Amino acid sequence: MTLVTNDDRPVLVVTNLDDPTADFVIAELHGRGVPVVRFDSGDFPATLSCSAAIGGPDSWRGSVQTPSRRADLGAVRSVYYRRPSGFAFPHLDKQDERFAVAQARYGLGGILTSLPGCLYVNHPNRIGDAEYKPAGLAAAAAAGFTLPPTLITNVPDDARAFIKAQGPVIFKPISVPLYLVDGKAQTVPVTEVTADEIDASVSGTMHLFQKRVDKVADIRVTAIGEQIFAVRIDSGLLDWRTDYGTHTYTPLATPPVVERSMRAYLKHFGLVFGAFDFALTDRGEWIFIECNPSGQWAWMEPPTGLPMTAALAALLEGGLCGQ
Amino acid sequence: MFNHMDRFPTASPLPQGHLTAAPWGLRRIAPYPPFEGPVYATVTLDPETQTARYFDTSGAPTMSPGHGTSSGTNPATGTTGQGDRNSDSPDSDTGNDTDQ
Repeated sequence: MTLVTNDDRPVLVVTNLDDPTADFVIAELHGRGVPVVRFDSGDFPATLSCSAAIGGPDSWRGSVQTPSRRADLGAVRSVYYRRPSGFAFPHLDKQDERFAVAQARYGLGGILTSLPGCLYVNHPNRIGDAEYKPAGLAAAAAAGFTLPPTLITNVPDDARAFIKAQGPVIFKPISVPLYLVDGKAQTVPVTEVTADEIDASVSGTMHLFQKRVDKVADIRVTAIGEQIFAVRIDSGLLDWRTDYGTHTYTPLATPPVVERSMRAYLKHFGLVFGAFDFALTDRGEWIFIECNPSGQWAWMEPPTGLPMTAALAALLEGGLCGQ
Repeated sequence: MFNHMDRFPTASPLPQGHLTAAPWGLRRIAPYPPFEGPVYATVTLDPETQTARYFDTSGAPTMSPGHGTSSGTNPATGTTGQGDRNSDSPDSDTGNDTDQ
């Protein structure tokens, strides 16, 4: 029997194959001599297998096996949960597929989310909680952030009254599921909405309306463990995500009061990573827009020089001992 | 792997036969902004480094999409998904999974 030292304990990276951000972090871990076992849940069961036993003195005994690596489930120091693909059983009929997927999700997924002594960046279930925009807004208000007035409704008259009272107002999707037009995925751009555009179809489901913030710039703050990287994004756009070609990036300091609220927000959801979006007003106020528990960040590193990849690798390397 | 969306409610739907309006928000659905598209034909995992290796149509190694940050388009490591990227979430800044 060999003793597993902390140096041998692997980091699991759960993501699809085409994830350049994960590659940066894995390369950094490799440079630090930290073993990495990478796989995509979508590879199960074709090229990914798992056995886990419990009932003795220990928690899970067993492993996950990929074509190139094997990870001892009891030795995993941290899990980097990025962008794994869903389970696929295309050769099965609908009902059989539903059965197979459910066993895979609750079985493999259940094991991977209950590893002992393991740091999750982030825990998938915590991500699931934090992806509910209304829950995020409620947590943000409780954490002391300033929020734009927001209405979530399926009552047309309430939407109209809100727009008249708060205008200009924007419409935002509460969630963006897959929506295909001619095989191409679609989105819902963040755009202004006027009261006369509202009709009875607002009753058809829930809709989110928010007062448009009069901003001078946007701020993206990426919290990676104890480290915080704030970047001012000047774009002149309502939604900076629509055109990166217009951006200039400037690192800036986070006001202590904002940082305290960020800590409270992350603690509320049990997150160790979060990508916060703020609108900066001409009076220097930071208005909370949202926090993405799985937000992207790697594209900001080259233009700012902020050591975000190193911070993420250090967080994963430290595992729970680093907390 | 985890279907975050299905938390409330979780039971099977029981349609009551009511006709309700097609949601207003559907009218706002539009294509994604231009994206720095995939410039590779295949991607494989390097067993040694556990990072991806990208190849073009001729089978020659090509640069990872994450290294291309040409101006005017949205980078592969940015927040704007294009939805048709391999198992990407439609909005790549939110969500981790696409179970379809």
